[in-house]
Amino acid sequence: MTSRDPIGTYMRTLASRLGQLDKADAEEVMREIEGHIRDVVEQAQARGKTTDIHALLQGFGPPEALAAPYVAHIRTGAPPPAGFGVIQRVRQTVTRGLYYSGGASGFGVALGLLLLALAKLVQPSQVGVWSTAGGNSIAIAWSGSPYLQAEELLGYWLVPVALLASAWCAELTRRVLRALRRGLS
Amino acid sequence: MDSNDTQEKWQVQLRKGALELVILAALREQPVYGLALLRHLQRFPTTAITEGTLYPLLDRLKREGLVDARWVQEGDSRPRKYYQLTDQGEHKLTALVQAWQQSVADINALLAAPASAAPSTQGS
Repeated sequence: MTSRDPIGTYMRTLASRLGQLDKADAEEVMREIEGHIRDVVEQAQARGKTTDIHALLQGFGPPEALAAPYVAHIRTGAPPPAGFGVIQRVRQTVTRGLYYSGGASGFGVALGLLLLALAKLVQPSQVGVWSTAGGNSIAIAWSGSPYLQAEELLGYWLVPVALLASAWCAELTRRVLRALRRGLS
Repeated sequence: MDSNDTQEKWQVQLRKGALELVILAALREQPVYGLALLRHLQRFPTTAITEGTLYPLLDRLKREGLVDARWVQEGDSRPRKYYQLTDQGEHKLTALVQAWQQSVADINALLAAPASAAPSTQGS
């Protein structure tokens, strides 16, 4: 069966095969390949010639084969984002249970830290990080000092520290989930 | 038929190893976009690759940090993705050129001098 729009058909199939890439990466590949095809057609037209579209597309090979090397590095382990080397060890054998439980845990901790920062602003005397026994014991509490003669460590610095930790935890979770999602697809 | 087939396979293997070298070499002077690079390589029979070989290879070289790419629009033309060597790519090219020239020199020497003519290094 021949298509009336072989280039469009080819590009749509290629797009679907590049689905495992980041959207921006897939769009860049598509833009480059389609630009090449349109350039060849337009340059031939400028010389008063027609282009054998099927022969041109044959040069790219089947869209599935063209897409394969672009996505192969993801299947064999994409380079991790800087500072998150552990992601490189994530492979395709990821279960959905791990995906959802990991997401719930990571975002749960991030939410807890966010609430801690907000609580410190609302009830500064009740919320804090306390140390006792010469620094041998540290407790985060929402009910005032948990120890007699305990020393509060951070004071209002707890707010930015908890906010930063919350943001870091949420970002780490997002990146881990992204890597896991590739394994699930 | 068999002989031609075997020769073709041998040429494919030879080209596979040399392709990275010739692409890095083609990008050493100035940025080049895909179609121009393809036509440059297609000027020579042993490096006449297809689009389907070139673009994934450029993608790999980019991921390895050997080439960099940026989109450029000239006049009314469509934006094109230009590739150029990075510093890491320059170093790789230098190493590959040395290895290639050494291989060519060695093979030429072997072609010129059959094994029987080589001086013996072992005692009799």
